[in-house]
Amino acid sequence: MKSYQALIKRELLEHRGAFLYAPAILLAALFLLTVFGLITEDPDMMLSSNMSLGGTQLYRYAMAGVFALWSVYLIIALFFYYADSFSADRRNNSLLFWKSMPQSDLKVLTGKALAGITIFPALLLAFAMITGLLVYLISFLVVAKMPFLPMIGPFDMVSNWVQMGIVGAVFFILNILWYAPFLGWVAGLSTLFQRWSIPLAFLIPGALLMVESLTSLSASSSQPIADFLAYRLGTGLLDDKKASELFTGDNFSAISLIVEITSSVNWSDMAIGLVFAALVVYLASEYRRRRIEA
Amino acid sequence: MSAATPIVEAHNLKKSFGKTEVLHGLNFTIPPGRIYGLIGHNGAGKTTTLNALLGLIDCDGDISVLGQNPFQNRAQLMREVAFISDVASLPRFLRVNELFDLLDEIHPNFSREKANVFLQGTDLRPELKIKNLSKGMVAQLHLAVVMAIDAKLLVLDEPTLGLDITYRKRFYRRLIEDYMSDERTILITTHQVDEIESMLTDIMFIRDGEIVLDVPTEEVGNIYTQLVASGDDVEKATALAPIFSEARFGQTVMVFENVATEKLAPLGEVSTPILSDLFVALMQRQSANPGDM
Repeated sequence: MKSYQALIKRELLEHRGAFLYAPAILLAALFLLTVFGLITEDPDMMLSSNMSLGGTQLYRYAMAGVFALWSVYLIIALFFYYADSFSADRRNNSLLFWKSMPQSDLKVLTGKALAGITIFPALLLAFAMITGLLVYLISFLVVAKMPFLPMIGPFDMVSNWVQMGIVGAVFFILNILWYAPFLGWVAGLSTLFQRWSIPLAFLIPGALLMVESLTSLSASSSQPIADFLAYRLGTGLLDDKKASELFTGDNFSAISLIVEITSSVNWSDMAIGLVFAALVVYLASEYRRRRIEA
Repeated sequence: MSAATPIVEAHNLKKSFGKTEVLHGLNFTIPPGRIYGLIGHNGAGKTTTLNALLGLIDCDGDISVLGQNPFQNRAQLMREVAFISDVASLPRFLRVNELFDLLDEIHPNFSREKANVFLQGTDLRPELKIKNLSKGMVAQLHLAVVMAIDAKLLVLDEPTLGLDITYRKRFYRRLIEDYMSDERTILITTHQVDEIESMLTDIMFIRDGEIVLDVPTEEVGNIYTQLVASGDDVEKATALAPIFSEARFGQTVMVFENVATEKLAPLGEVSTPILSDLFVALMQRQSANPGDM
């Protein structure tokens, strides 16, 4: 366990730029730009003064948007992380050093895979939570400019901030687990083709889709590859209408939202995806075991 | 040879890359408490042999390190084996102290205190980033890391490449004084053989994937004799079938194998050949292993 922690910590040290520095800079820049914009400019009166939503509901929507945006950042960053990390030791010429350590190749790659579903999402969750606090601070400025807008009270804010944080954590975890086969796909390609994995991750399915569309020209022909990719690329966690109901309801609770989200997951498909990802990690470790040079 | 359990045993060790066989059935045994020098030309099979015994490549034949198959049990074996195969292989994204932090948690036999002691007197500081270090400093750091690992076998493949002579001498001195013990074995390859000659207890010459000499250094003088002759003595010495002959500054340097010193002494200055001369001599002959004669 101690060595797994160390291997995950090593991934954090190696990729702190993408998961620590870049989000911090992004967040600071967005916050400063927003504050600067609100102070120096008159905001367009796009928001109606007879808005039906209360301050609490608005804050929940804002938090949901924050988590949606950070989850997009997370998935993109993880895509590039897995496209790099499974071959980074070879590219950095440090493969022999890591092989001189009493850790198996399977353990090293499992550590890399685990970093992507533990420390990195945890960091971005922390950034999302900080963003939630900043949104609250910014709301003071917004209401100062547009006094007709409702404002959430501090106690309500804390309660909603915590509850939305719990929901966001579940949302992050489910997203990563759902997209695990795609991340495994690019990690497997990275093992074989190093940085070419990034274009190949799109080119190979793109080529398959093209072949499929050429061989099934009639409208009635089925396109299983296209259907499968469309299905797996969508999260399908919760439809917008249901989400809206839950956010605007007076009896909002994290538990009910989490129950709703988890009940919308196709667990058998998720399990199949995870088995695929685990198989990729194992095969990649066997390949790495036989490599000693870049 | 010690009766203790060998550290390394290889029987009929073969390795092919594609259709090219690069190791042609090596047989050797390395007992504990010895310092072996594995010496050969570029492409002779030194690194492949080291990779085989470190479990980095799979080979045909039998090889056992500390009683284990290295390829099957590499991770477990690395608790007891330390090696440097490339001094430029330290992870460049880390700082020196971050590297030590990680090693503290990853390697059960790594001692941070020892590593710090080995770094004393160098310009290396804990907060320095490895990617900003010079090649020599990276080598110093890597050597400090492996010497801070309590290992039974230390394998060094060209460990002092890129280091200045002051640090090379200091490193080898520390290797002998602070690291080496009866329980430890060191296997070292280098092209600067003259620098390590005095510290080796055994030498192994490898040529074209075959071991052509595997003897304790104290036996070299019993088998090989160097003669520096001039004038008419050169012709008489040539009649005794030297395995190597070379003209140097108006004299002829010859190396003989299993020729009695009494026969050679009247013909010129007799001595035990230095390692580099013996190496050149054995690399040039058809069959160099004394056992083959």
